[in-house]
Amino acid sequence: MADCWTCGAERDRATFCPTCGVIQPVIKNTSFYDSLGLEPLMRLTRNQLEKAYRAQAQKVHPDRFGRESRMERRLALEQTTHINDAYQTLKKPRKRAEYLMKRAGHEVGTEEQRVKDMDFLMEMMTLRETLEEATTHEQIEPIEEQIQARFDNHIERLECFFDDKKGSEDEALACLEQLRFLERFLDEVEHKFDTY
Amino acid sequence: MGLLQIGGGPKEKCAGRVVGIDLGTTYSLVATVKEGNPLVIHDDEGRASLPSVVYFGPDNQVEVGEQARSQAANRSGRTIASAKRFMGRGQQESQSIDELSPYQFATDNEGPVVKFQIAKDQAVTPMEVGAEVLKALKMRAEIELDGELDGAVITVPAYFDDAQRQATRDAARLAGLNVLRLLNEPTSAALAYGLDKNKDGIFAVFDMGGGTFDISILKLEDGVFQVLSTGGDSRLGGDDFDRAVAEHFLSESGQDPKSTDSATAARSLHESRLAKERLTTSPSTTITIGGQEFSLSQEQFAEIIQPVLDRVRGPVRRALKDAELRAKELDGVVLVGGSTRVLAVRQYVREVFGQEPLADIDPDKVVALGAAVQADMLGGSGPRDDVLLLDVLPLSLGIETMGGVVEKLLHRNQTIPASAGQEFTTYADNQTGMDFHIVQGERETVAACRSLARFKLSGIPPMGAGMARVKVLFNVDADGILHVSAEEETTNTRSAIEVKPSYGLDDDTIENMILESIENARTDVSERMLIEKRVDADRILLALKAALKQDEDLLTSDERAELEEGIAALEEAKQNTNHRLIEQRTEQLDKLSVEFAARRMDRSINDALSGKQVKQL
Repeated sequence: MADCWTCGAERDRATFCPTCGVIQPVIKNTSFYDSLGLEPLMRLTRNQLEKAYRAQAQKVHPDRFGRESRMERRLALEQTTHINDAYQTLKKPRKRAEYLMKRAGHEVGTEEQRVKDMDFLMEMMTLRETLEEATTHEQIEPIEEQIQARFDNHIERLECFFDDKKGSEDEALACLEQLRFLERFLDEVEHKFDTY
Repeated sequence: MGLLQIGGGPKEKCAGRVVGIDLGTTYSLVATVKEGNPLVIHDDEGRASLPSVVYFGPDNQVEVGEQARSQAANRSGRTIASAKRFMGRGQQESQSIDELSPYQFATDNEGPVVKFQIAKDQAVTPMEVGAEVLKALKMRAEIELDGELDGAVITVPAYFDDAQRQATRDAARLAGLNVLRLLNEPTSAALAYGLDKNKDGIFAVFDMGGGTFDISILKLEDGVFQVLSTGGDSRLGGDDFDRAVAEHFLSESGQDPKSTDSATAARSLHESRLAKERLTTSPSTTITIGGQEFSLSQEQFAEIIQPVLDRVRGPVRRALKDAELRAKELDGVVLVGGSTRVLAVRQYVREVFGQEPLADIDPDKVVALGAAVQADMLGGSGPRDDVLLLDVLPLSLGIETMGGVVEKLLHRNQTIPASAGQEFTTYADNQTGMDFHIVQGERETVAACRSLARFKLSGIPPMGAGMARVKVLFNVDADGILHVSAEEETTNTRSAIEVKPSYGLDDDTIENMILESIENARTDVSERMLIEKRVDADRILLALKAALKQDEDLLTSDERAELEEGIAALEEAKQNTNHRLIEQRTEQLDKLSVEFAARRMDRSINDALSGKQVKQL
């Protein structure tokens, strides 16, 4: 709960005071989804996110406050930095899932959560070897496709977990951990593409 | 925090006199918006572009532009051109920029900024040179607009780093200009087109000048012009075409281009440039090199410069990848810079992007026109609700961590303003200070990135190693300028600095860093692994040695000898560059010391428990 810094009216987490309309500071721990006016869902298309982000940027960007007071310009910068952070975090599905997980009170990326699924690790090792031996685009592409398919499948599972409340937390955490693994792998594939 | 620099004039002011300025390396222009149309302001002789050349006379008289340029040969020491290349550089740096540089650099070591020695007792900074160019443009605009200027948007190359942006700002301040915004050049060009066409879409800006190539990808939608990515090669441009042509015909005439004397080389380059320019309007031409005349057709020319053109593919591919787009998804490709007049370049753009490039705005003026549009939005006819510009960070910003590894806090192509924080902790017991080193670049090791600034957080209360929580916060404002602060969170010890570095990154360095980051991605990773493994090894060695000192009596002499052997083995491996070996021996030593650690644990529990009653536990 917070009050407006100019008129003193209660404004909760609103970006602009509902009473006097003046821009407000970002309250700590304000959800990225709230800041962009989005439902807190894992299923979020790039289009939905960008539309919400652009609409908000139009309202809070410092360029819109060129003629306002110093304080308002500072707050505009603060609000814009916050939504840029939100945009950057929610844009990538893996980061979005981690964010939702953290908001739900779970730590992510801890030692205990490291991928333990032996089958998964074996599969990754085999794929990594195949990737190391690949020397042409034609050889790299099917590996990329395979990893990408796994990646997409993991995203779907996380969407079910967060949005449909299906599956256990432990499963979701393990899934997220594998997702990081897959993402790193995709980066390696990309480097490989750059090399050949 | 310098946050005030964003806004325009006083609150009550209505439509102001504002301009956009393209402060270029060779030419500069000023433009404004009149009745909704951006147009370039000419001088009283009808010239649009002002040569970025300044003559500093003995009696403080200053000449700028054409006059200074035409007399440059007679007054070489007192005439400065291309000052932009030295913006935001340090003295020592500038000595090594270009061995062929005609300038005398001051070596007074007074302050870190590079100075041109124009007379025995007179030196000027690149900012002062830039300021003279800006003053000339300001006067030109004030005559045209019939009154004092309220503000200006000044363009900078997308790759300009923090120091170079600061230097540009300083130049504007010296010229008495109120800077509404520093705007990236490609963004500015896209703005000119985007508003001209007045339609939503994704645009690529293909900017090729004499010596640099920039590619930016922007999206215009819902009234927001968003830069998605930017990249380029700062050693790729029209001059390389001239070189390719000159070398080709020198070989044809039986000379070795590598051992040509400098006069012949200069003449050949000049001839090649003229031929290139003729070929922008005619299908073929003749060229005289090495005393022989050759005919040169459009096709032949295209073939000769092909290897140079092929070098744009990499940056284009990366920019598309960073924007997560395919070439065919682009709605338009905007051409900027004199070299895009070359027909072979246009043909190549057509091939790479699969579409006809947009060139209906003069590529030499488009940057200034876009800047005028942005100035109009920020401070002219009042904030317009329709278009907002969102730009990105050109290079990643990071901080040095243990062992010279870079922890990137803000990544290249992230939308600005942006902020990021990272927690660090102490390495040794009772450590009261921490040194921070801020770097900019894409590589993973500090040595390979560019140093921006260093600062120290002191007054951390004595605590055990790893107990302090130091949070470093990076804030990049809408001009792309970085502000840094640090705080020890358990005690609120603060330290804030504005990053005002002594020198900046030049385009070449930035470009090299990006290229190298890709080429060296692999070595970087293994280098990083090595550093990390060494840190791990140090940690266990340090702990074990301390433990041995304290609780030696818990071990038999055999056990002790075994541990000492393990320590020696690990220390030996550490000298090596094989990170796997270090890791292996660290693990071995870890295993060896498990029993010892358990016994120490027992002892400390016993110590802690002795004298206490069970109830208290």
